[in-house]
Amino acid sequence: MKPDSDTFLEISHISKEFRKPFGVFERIFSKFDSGIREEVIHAVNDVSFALYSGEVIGLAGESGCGKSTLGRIIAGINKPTSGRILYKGKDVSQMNRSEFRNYSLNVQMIFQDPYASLNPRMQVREIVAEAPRKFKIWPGGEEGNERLSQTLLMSGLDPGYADRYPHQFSGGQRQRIGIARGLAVSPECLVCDETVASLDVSIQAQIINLFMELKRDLNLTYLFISHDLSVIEAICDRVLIMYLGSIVESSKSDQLFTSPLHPYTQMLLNAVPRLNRRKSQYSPIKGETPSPIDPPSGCAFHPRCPQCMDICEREAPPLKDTQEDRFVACHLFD
Amino acid sequence: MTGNTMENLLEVRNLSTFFDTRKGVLKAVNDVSFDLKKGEILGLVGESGSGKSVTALSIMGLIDPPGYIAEGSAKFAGCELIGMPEEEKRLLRGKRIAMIFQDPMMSLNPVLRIDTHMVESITAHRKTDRKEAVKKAVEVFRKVGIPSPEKRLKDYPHQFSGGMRQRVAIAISLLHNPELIIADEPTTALDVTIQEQILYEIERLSRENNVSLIWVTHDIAVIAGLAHKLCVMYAGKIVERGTTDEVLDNPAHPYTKGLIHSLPEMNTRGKPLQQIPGMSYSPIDLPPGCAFKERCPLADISCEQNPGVTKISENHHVCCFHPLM
Repeated sequence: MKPDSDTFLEISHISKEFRKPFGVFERIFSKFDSGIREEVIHAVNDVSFALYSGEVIGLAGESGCGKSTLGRIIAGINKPTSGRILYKGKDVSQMNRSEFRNYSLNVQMIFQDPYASLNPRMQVREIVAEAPRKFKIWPGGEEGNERLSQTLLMSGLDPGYADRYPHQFSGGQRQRIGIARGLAVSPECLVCDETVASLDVSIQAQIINLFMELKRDLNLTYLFISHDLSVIEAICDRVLIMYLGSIVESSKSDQLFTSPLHPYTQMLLNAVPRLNRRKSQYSPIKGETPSPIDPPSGCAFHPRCPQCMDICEREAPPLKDTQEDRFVACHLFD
Repeated sequence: MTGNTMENLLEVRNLSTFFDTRKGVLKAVNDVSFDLKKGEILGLVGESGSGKSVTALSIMGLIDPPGYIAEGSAKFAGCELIGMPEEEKRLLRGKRIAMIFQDPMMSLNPVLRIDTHMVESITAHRKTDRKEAVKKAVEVFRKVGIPSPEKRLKDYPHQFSGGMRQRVAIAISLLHNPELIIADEPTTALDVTIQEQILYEIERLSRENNVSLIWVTHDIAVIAGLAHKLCVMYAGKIVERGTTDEVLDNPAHPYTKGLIHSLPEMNTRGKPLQQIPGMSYSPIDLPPGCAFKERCPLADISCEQNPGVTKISENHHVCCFHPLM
């Protein structure tokens, strides 16, 4: 994955740890060498990939696998514990203020919950225009209002709704407000974190279509985070599958969905309920996602893996190239 | 069909549940009828606000003011549930009819240990000592596949993961070997892999114990493999009902068809998804006639009237003037 001219973002060896701060007693006991250790949650573990301009990447995995944390790091909301992000070839951690501002405006995040992510006391006009006014992207006065109307129209909202408050909208429309807020600063990339998860099926299709129209019209790049593999299949060019903080498989969408390589991907795809593949026999899956505080030794997936070998308990498999542009982290492909 | 007897365990007729609000009467459930045989699994499918949960709560007798059951009947094994005195309902609920809710964190008391929950639900219906009750609890824990049940019974709800908590809720519902379980979106909050485990357990339990099940969900794909028959709800009404295969393979209502075709899996990648335009009405002051007409590609002047039930086949009925054949 060499950076080239149209690499938009390059993520290399990103890790993120969260630490639970010590309470009073733990702080006292830790002075006496009582063996109390700090709890460290390894949310993201040595993740590397590149995002090319105009591409739609899907990031999938079970809850707690670190996909949202990775999305927040890429959007510049959280800082990684180690590793670096190159934005158009430039290291984000070395950027000065105006460069960083440029980066964080160009990568906008759209959140999952359209109820929690909009300030209930602000009008739609204030929510959408807040950032572009602050950063002087939009002019004031009549021309600024014109830009606001355009942005609302682009997101499929009636500009006449600009003076309303979020509670006056349905879930799907609120999600459109969130999208308008993201688009207002003319970003190049949208990080969508479970953006359609809380919507009804018919509304979900409307929002996905809106995303695809925007991609075509504005040449946007997407990182689309979702636990719903059927949504990812419908829109993404390339898919990353995460398990317990690490990427276990990365490949083109067509290949991943027709012939998944990693046993975890196979298990995940098999569990997606589908109308075309109605089954009355369900298979019980072994176990649950282990805790990221105390991950299993070797390959993190080995306790649940149907094809677990001896080496899996000892060594963690690296993510490696198996065939052209298909990366998988599994000892089966050594 | 798996039913041993052809007798209906549950017969719901013209059930209507309304809520009095400041803005007017909200018709959450409007003239709903369906049957359920012993051992049968019914999928109640609809989008948010379509009245599917309120239908389930009405059958359980859990509608509180300002809600009320305006009319209709729900007969469970020959007993009328609507208007039944509270004491009698209490004898049924949890014993012969059990309910599983969407979020087990909300339905379990966070300050009580799981064994307290279990013993309480057992002694509510049966005179027994604590020892016997714990034994029964261990037995149902084993049934739903919770490892080391004796140990886990001593845990508090927060010590269980989401999937395990839902198993606990299912275990509690099984304590009295109910004849009917009503499950309201029991897997919506869970990952697909955990959902598969729960579906596996539910399917097995229903088959082995001949339990009837009403599964309320917004996700038609989840229920596709499990349910024997489906009822599709829209704006408080059942717009289509029939066996699962008939409804999914030959949807007769334009809404059902739209719902199936807007699923991402039904579309080819790179092409826009098929979508149902617009959104549903607020269930307060619904316009006369078919509630779907504004979003329907086939709507015409006749849709200003209330559509009656059209029979497509013996087990397939639709409420539409222009059924798709």
